[in-house]
Amino acid sequence: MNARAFDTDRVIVIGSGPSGVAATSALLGRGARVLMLDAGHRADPSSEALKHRLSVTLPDHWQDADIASWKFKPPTGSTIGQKAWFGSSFAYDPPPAVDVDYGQTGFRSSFALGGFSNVWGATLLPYSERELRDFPLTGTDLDCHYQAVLQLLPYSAQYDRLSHRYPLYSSNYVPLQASRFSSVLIHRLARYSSKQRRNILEFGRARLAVRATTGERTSGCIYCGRCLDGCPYDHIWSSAQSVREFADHPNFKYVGDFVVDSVSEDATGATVIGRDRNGPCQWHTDARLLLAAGAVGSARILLNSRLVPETLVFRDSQTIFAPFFWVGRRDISTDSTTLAEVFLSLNDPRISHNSVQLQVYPSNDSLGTRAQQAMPHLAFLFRRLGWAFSHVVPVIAYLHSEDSDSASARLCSGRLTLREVENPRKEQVMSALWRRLLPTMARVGLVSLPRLAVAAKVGEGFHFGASLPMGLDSAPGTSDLLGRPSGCKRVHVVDSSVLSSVPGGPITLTVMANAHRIASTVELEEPE
Amino acid sequence: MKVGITGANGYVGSRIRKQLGSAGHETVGLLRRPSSQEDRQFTLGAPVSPKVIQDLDAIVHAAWDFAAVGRSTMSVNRDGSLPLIRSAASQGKRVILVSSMSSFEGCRSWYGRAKLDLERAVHDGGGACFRAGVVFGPAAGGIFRAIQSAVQEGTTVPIFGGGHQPLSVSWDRAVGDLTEHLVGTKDLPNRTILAAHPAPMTLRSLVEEIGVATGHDVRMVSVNWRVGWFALRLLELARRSTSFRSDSLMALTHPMPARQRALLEPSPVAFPPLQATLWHTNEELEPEE
Repeated sequence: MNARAFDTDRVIVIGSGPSGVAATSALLGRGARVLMLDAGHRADPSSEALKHRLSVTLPDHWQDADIASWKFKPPTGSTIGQKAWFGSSFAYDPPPAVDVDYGQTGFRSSFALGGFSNVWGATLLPYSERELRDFPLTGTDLDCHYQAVLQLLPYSAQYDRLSHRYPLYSSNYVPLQASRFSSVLIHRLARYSSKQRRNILEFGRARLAVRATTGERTSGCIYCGRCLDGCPYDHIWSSAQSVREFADHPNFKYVGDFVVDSVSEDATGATVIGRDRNGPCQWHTDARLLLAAGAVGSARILLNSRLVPETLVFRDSQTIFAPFFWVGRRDISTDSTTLAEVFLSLNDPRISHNSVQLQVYPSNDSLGTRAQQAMPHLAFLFRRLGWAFSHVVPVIAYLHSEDSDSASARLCSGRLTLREVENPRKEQVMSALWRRLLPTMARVGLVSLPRLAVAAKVGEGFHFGASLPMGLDSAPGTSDLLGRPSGCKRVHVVDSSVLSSVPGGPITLTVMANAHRIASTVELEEPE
Repeated sequence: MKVGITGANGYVGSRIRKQLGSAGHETVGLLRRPSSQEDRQFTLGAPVSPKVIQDLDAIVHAAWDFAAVGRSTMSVNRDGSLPLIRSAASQGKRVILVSSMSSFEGCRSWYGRAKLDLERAVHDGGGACFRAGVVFGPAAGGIFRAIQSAVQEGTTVPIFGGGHQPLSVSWDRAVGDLTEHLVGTKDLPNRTILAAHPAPMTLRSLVEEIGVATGHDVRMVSVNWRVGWFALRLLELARRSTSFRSDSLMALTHPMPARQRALLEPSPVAFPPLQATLWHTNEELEPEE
């Protein structure tokens, strides 16, 4: 069967996740015409209906039946880092035609409209010079792109101690109301670190892509405490919201239901080969092609296209889920957000020359369910000691990719196959982290429950990429400063694949800023 | 427009009066002891003579009798305000109630409960209400003045309930601007307005900022709020006058839940955060001609 072919003079962006949206916004800002090709999976109609029912009333009027069906239900075969969106696992579900063997890893690819930003933790933090050490960029190269990207999102933040190393980059922020727990924790951390000789601890309030109520007639978060199950009011940003906003732009065109298999380029332009609802079809552009399908998605497309060597290595920021016992008063769990509340950065050369980033969450019901799921042998304890459980504070630590396991990706008889690659440094760093972290945390009232800490599988924290790291030389298996795999002229990879490494901590803002940077820099006329 | 203001001699009331006056409104103080020609006699609890409000277009209700402590707040302030609110509503006058962030569904302070009942009465009569937090400004009174003088005198500031509870701050000039907006606007919101900076502070950060702005080292001592409340209540029962009431302590230690706060009507007038430049200046203290 002959594939149907379409021609366009638009810049093609593949994918509607945060990087695709950031690149699109930069292109539209330059007056370019954009075609977004996207698998664009939507949630099941029942989940959409549930979200709609919840969104039209306030929490006090939610029906019990709706709350029950909304309550966190882990998707079958899910891993600890996965979340449901109003009970739907559409963000993780692959289309039937795409077959990936993930092995024992936690890596996943999203085919949803908005990608993984439908289910993300909404944490925002730029990379400082320290995190950009491996990058052929400096912080100042990204400055204006951080600023631009933050205009796309609601931004809840405030000026605090973290702002020295991690600038706010925007004055357009509104802080969310802090829970008493996080205020006390920050106060204790400040008291503790003022007594320390060496300053190895940086901390501050979490910065989130969440809309907070401002004084200027806009409504925002109402603290229903259900952030991890999906926000009925859309106060947590997802890139799907931005795609909907672009829809009105005269230079923007969206084609959904299109799953990309491979891409190619020649002197006349670039071609995307894939399938839509009616079977195989292809899009040809005489402009540029920006690949923003997510690290796994882009790797699948590039390997299929034979534009990269046979084996790619995904670098992952290893994630550790650790419960701590809070010595102090607890808030009513429903009176705060349930996203990260406090960011901590630990810079101790005795642990690693890379910093370890920690996110402290408030305790809440769905986290309890999650913890029980992670530790089924202790479920009886959770049931009996409800009061004690309300003092359990989940902390998530992110290691640098250099200190973490990684995964290899190759095509085995046409099927993308991922295999874990162990890193001997990991155990060393983790035990050093534990040895140094626990006494510090105990001083601020977070007593560890060390046996309960779970190191996530590689990929499970969804902070992965660097499979095609940007470098100054164009060696095979790397990309140039504009995200082009070596040898390519028109195909740019703009998602987390082209990070040079994956430092611990929030990754999305930098991925978006980098996509924005590439899309702002590419020559739109003719490839040089 | 001709606007009557109750409590026009108090801190917030006088601030509102001044701003309404400078915006070109004719202001009439409704006072217990009127001292000038244009002011009129009004007492909480006393029947309101129709003549008092007859020719007014709007009434800003800012009066509060803080001498009434405990349960008597309800009879003196709530029941004492209802005649004014009801007779104003029946004559088609616009009523604007100065309420407080201490007032919310499920609040424990008598002050908050009384204000909440009044908010309902005002909304029933087609008026508008706004909730102000700790009001600050160059000539601040109330809690802000109390903390300010404690810091400046170098006294140790007692912190109740840990001091990490959210505390809203309202710039007095923005309160005046909001009132002026509500007096003049065509579409009155039917929900209570949040008349404070959107991001709350904490008691500790408020004390610290005042200390930094005035160049004083601040000492804070944490006191169990129950102990403080009990001590103040005993003094009140013994009819000793206290600078800080047990009821205010209750309000301070039991703040409005985040969700209720987020559901308040956002203010049409911007409220800035606490900044020293907004209050640490004496220019406004000078008497007006």
